[in-house]
Amino acid sequence: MKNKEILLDVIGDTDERLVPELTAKKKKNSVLKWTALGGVCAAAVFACVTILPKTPVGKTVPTESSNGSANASAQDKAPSVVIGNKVAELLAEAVYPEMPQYPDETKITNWNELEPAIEEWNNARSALKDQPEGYQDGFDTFFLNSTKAFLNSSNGENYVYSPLSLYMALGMSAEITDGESRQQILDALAQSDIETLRSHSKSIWQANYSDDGMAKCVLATSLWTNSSAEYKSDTVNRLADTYYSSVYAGDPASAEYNKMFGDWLNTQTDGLLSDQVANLKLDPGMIMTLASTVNYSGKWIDQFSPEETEQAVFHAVGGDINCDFMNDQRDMYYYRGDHFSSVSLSLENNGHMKLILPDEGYTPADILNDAQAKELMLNSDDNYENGKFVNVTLSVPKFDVCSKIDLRDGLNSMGITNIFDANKSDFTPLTDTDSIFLSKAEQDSRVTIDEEGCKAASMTVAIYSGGVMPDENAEFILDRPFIFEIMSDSGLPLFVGVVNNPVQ
Amino acid sequence: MEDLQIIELYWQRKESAIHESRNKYGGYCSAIANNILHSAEDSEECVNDTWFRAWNAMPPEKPSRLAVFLGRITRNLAIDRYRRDRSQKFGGGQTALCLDELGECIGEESPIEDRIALKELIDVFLHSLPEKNRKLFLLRYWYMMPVAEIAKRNNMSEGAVKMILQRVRNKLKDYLEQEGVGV
Repeated sequence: MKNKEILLDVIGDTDERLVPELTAKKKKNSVLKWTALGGVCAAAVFACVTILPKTPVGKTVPTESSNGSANASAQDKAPSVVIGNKVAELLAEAVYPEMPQYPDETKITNWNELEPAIEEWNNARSALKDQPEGYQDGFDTFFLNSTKAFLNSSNGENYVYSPLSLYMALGMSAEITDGESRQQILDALAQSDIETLRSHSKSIWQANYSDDGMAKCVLATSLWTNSSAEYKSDTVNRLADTYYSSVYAGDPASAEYNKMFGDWLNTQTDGLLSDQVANLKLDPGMIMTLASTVNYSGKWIDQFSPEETEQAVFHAVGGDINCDFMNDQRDMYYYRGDHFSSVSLSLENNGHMKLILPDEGYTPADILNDAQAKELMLNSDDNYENGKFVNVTLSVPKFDVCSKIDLRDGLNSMGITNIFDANKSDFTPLTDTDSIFLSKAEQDSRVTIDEEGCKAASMTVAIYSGGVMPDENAEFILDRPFIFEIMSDSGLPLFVGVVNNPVQ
Repeated sequence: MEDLQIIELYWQRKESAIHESRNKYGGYCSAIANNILHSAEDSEECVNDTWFRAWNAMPPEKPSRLAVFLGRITRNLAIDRYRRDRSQKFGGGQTALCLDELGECIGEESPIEDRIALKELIDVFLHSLPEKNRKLFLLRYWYMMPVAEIAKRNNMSEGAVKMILQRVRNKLKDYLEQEGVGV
């Protein structure tokens, strides 16, 4: 017998729990439209870091003429320059890698046309994901330390934190500092030196970039400079290049510049955080504000049927509430920790969302300090020692949670202190202005999930009547505070949060 | 009837077990056999044989998923029949196509002697796949379902299904090469 025939036989003998059912009920058919990015799982965050001088920046600093060209301002001038003198202008616009759109399958009827388009899309995607080995080194340490610093939820509020957004904002902060100020940031990011950080940041950005009409994951950064201040062009150029930053200059007291700032944030987060952006203003005396956003949107591979969504009780910290629960029964990996259970919901070409439910008697805060949970949150695949492929009765509340985190205390606890102190900070790579310090560092996030988005019809695997032994079944009912983590396709935690109240 | 009840009938040696199996899983097993053989008459024979194989297997077997248990018996019977009569009789079935496709994944230089080791490797490989890719792979090579039907069931284009299957096969090829299977 030929090897390929043996292979066919052996596939037939595979673990029966992996074999998809065919007898399951089907969901209502509808047209699948890739190009319509729905809100099945949408998340956005922005982090703003504002740098102030101890005394306000003077308005009388002579300015050189600017032609509005980023490259001209960035490369052709002396090391110390004034990069703008207008009320508000874009000096350099980040140029993102080309990413072909995933073809709209509803419009293509000829397979011969579709295949090359998919191939082109796949090649572009693979090229971005193909990064040097070790580019994620240090991120695990940063993730664990920063999660501990920023997700210490105990007051019943929802918490959302984006490690990746903060990583990029801190990376940019390391570029504009020197000496002990920079070293503290490098230590917190678990990076040995600034060159390594540059290389890792760029690779992380590229490996996580996706904006192809089907999946979205865009890390955007921008620099908001004060046209009355002087900056060192090398540093500004490096920020624009390494962090794919757009660079703006203007008068931070002007309405035009603030509008530009708000518009940029809203554009980068698809308006998901427009309420928070409306309350945000540039500090009139700032030297610079760094903004970092992550805009993420994806569709479940196995979508929930709206017909199965029902109201049920969620036992929130402040008392029971009613909310919509998405229900399904699936064959999937189920992780059983000592004090919690977990399942993952995969997103179409865009990573997955891990849901972690503390056992009765344990809080999300307890589990965030649990060694097993930490290991689980850093693991990007399903091969867990405690994992099992079982039939899961799944009940997940639709949630829409927002969170605002003042990063200062958490950053202090991670050892980043000098940049907050005008007497100790060293911002000489950015400017020779004396006594400047980081006055504000905040992160606003929002994560929302539902069952719809695009109206895809997919076969519901499972719901076979009673054909499994009890130890092959598991219930995963998220009816009390729980933890979620959105992990990117490249295996990095984009968002992690605690849902204490799904409809808060 | 619930699966556990049907299994219980087999254990009690009641012939109604076969009747209930046919009622509940006759169509399912026929679909599998037909994917492989593309012949209604031969498929029906395989399905009829399935119930008697199941009768002989239970007890002692107590399957955790009756559908897959029965489907696997049908699959094996149909593949045996395919091998016996080869493709001249079953030209329209999926088996020859599936074999060609799987031929891309495995060399023929050194014959496989240890099937158990290969099964373990395949299990590890399938566990490592994303849920959706695993599902598509098994619909194709476990059920030997035509690509068009896989696409329809999953609301995907045939092109997208083919692309994913191609990628999984490439991955399997690399994995088996790395493990020294068939090379």
